[in-house]
Amino acid sequence: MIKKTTFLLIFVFISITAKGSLLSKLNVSKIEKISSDSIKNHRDSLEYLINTNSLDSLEKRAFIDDFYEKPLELFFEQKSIIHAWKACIIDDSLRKVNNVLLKTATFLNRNKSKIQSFKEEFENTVRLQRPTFLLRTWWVDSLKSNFDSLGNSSGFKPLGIDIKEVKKSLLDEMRTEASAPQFVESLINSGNTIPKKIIIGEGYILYKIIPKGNPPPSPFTPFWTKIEDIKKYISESLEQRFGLPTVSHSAKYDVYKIQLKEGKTAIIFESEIAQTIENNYKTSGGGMQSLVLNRAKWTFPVLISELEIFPPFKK
Amino acid sequence: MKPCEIPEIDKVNKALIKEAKTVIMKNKNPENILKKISDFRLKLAYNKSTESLESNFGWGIFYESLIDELSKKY
Repeated sequence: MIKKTTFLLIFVFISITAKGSLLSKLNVSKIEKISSDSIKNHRDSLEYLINTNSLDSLEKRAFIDDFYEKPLELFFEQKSIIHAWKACIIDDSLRKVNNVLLKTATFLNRNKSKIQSFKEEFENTVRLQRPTFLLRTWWVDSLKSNFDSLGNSSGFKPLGIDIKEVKKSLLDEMRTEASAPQFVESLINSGNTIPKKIIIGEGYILYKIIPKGNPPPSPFTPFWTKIEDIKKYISESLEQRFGLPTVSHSAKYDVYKIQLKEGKTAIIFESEIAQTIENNYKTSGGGMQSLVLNRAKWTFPVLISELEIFPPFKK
Repeated sequence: MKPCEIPEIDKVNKALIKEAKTVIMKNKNPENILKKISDFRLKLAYNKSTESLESNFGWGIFYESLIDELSKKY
């Protein structure tokens, strides 16, 4: 009886061992097959992405370097990821970060006409500053998308002083100086203080910031400022201090200048910039504006190409 | 010309362009339409919420070429 039981036990042990070994052999070969299939699939996907997105030879080499062993699902989940990767190609570390690709793709998706200009600006930004450029670009895009998707500032409203707070004599002086006296009243609520009259002489220069790459300012716009005010607020939320509509927010700004023509004198009206609201997006104001009411006395706006305003990113 | 999607502004803009083209085609005196265009641009510029429409929607270049053409009538 004991012999029979021992024999049975030995038989069961041998069976289990043999079966286990067989199973493990089967598993190894299955894993090897899955793994080789997956490598083949990955390489096929890599090739597919390269071919369908017409990458040039430089891009092709960089793409293989970046993704030879990295997952490619992201590229199939959102087609514009590849545009984001191409736009950031100059930076071999940022272009591999999933969050960078996802957020840049969202931006490019909403701004298809800006792919080339984004790429150029990203390339022109020094390496250390590129994260700031990206953060500011995504921030501005999300503001525009949330508060002014049509880009026409239709919900924008300055919350400055009421016309009743301005003395008639001052309004009359503003009208006398203005090339469009009939519209002077609409300027008043852009300021938080009563406009201060300042007489200036030839050569006086005023400045204006415009989203980088945008066309020059309107030949009639009266909203200008002094260079020291721009410089003063660069590091402390320029957009807030100047009460800018979201459409005028940008990662970087161009600076235009106008100069009082030779032999001319003019009156400008300075006031503190008022708070603004645009569909729940508020700015604090607090910067200074110089209202130029007769642009005929001034030169055409000239871009100061050597002066680029690139504020830090502040949440 | 790209509309800004603010109906009252697009309406005026459209009417001005139509009138300007009629003046050019019929060889009429452009003084009146030139004044209207200038007033419209000034009205946009003198208001902080409409100030950048001209630049942002690329109307500036269009107006300038229209004004050039109208001015030749003088």
